[in-house]
Amino acid sequence: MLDFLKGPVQAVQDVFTLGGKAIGNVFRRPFYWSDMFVQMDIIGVGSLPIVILTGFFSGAVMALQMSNALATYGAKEQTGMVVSITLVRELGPALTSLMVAGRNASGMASELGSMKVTEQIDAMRALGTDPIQKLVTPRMLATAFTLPLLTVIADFVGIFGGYLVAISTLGITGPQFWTSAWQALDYSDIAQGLVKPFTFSFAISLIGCYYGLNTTGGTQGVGRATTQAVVVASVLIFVLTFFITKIFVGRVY
Amino acid sequence: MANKSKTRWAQLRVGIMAIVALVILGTLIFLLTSGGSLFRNTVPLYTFMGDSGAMAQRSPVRLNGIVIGSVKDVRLSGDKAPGRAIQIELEVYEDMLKNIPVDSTAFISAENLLGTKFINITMGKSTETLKAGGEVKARQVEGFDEVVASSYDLLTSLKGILDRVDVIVSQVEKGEGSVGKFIADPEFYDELTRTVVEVRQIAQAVGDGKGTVGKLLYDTAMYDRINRMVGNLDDVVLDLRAGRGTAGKLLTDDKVYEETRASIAELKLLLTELNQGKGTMGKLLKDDQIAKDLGLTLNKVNTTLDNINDGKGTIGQLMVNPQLYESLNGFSTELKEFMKDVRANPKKYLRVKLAIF
Repeated sequence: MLDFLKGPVQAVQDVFTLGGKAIGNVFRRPFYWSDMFVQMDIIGVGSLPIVILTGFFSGAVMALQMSNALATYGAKEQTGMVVSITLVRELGPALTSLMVAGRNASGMASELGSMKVTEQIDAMRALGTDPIQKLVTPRMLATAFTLPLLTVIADFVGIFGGYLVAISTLGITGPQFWTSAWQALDYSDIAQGLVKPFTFSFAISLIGCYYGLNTTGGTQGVGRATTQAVVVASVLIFVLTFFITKIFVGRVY
Repeated sequence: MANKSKTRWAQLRVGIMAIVALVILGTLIFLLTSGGSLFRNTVPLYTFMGDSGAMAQRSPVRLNGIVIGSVKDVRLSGDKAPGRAIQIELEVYEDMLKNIPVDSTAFISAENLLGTKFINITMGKSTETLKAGGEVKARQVEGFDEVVASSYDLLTSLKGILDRVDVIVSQVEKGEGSVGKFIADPEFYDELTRTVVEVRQIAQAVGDGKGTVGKLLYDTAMYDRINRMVGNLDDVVLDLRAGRGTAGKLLTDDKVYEETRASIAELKLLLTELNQGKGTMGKLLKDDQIAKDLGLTLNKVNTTLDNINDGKGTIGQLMVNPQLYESLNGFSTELKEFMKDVRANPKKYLRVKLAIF
């Protein structure tokens, strides 16, 4: 039983150690700026299409679903409000993070895993380069920078999707939709919508890098590490979103 | 070199994405601040209520429906006075204070039955406005629970009434009572039918011109008579106007007027003479001597009548003495019998002896 528990506890400890080192490296030379920008390009710009599509359709679906429920209370005009609140507070950060987790946590784990199994990491270390400084920190910073930006774009595209549905099928006027959408939002909503992806970005990048750096068992191990990274990162996103929401809801009311 | 170019492209793309995202974020924050309260100074206002109505912190405060701030705190005031147990601290935009007259009233309202609650301030009419830290008078509004509780008595009495109505309706259904019989008893219907038939018969008879009413309506004789009568009256009026006949002359002839006037003048003269005591009647009215003589005469008559009443003298005896009446009565009876006897036997009394010398 103790041996069974030892593994996960060790993993948690390793992830936190890795995170501590990665964050510590932010304030330590050398800075791998080019690596960071490349990672930003891969994580941010590369995820843009999938994030836009996800956001757009989730917003459109939200408008369709909620308008039915709201029509029961004669409040169909409030569709914009519901769409904006759900997207900005919850769906935007969560879906964007899940997409990035699925796309990039797996990418990081497989990339670093391949390097690990081909002993490139060891070679790097032998050449005097800190693999965490070179590989983990740029990925972590790139994710932390791009994920909130991606979330903002996803929120906007999602509300735009809801707007298209509202004016085309629900008979709500454009100004009515947009006014109710932005009037429903509060600073706490925006803060929540930015704090969440920022927090998730650490979970995604650190989990991806951790599983990549701890890959064992050759190419098979790379596949396993990739799967585990995606699963754990996704689950962590849901757990974290619950706690962050709890903090914000508890603070507001 | 290739690596550098790759990095530059990456930087460009990331930069564009960041700019787009930041523009969206900036627009949203601009929208929120333009209608929001981030840079507006707030001042505290207080209101006291009997019940907080589960008012949450940061709930909106509205002035006649316009958001002017939010609820900062809801706490027990420690005041035992009725309707002042809860102190609600309001955070109101400073520039809105000039729009809140001192006689404004605050009450807890809800956006709808399920919606969040807010403090609504109804604008007063005073020219003086509230100062920072002032108190807005509260208007107690009964919550849903209080309304339900207060309507309990009403519902109970309503139930009692409904029970009684139920009894009445069941009695009516059974055909009991006047209303019940009215609705359930076929006899009434039959009676009504008979009445209707009779009324119809009468109407038919009237329509056919039978009976007085019928003739009145349909027979032209009556009309002709009335018409003639009106014609005659018309003639009479014409005659009157023309001065024909006594009445006509009375109306139109000046002679009658003159004669009447002369008569009235004579009457007036007569009355004047009477007043002046001229002639027998005048003296009778005006001469004191005659009045005295009359008084004396009347006294004498009075004395004579008193004597008669007292049975004095022959006439007095005749009035008061019963003996005289009885003897007269006896005499008349005897006379009646005598006459009867005379009729029966005239020869007994009428013996006429005819002797010629």
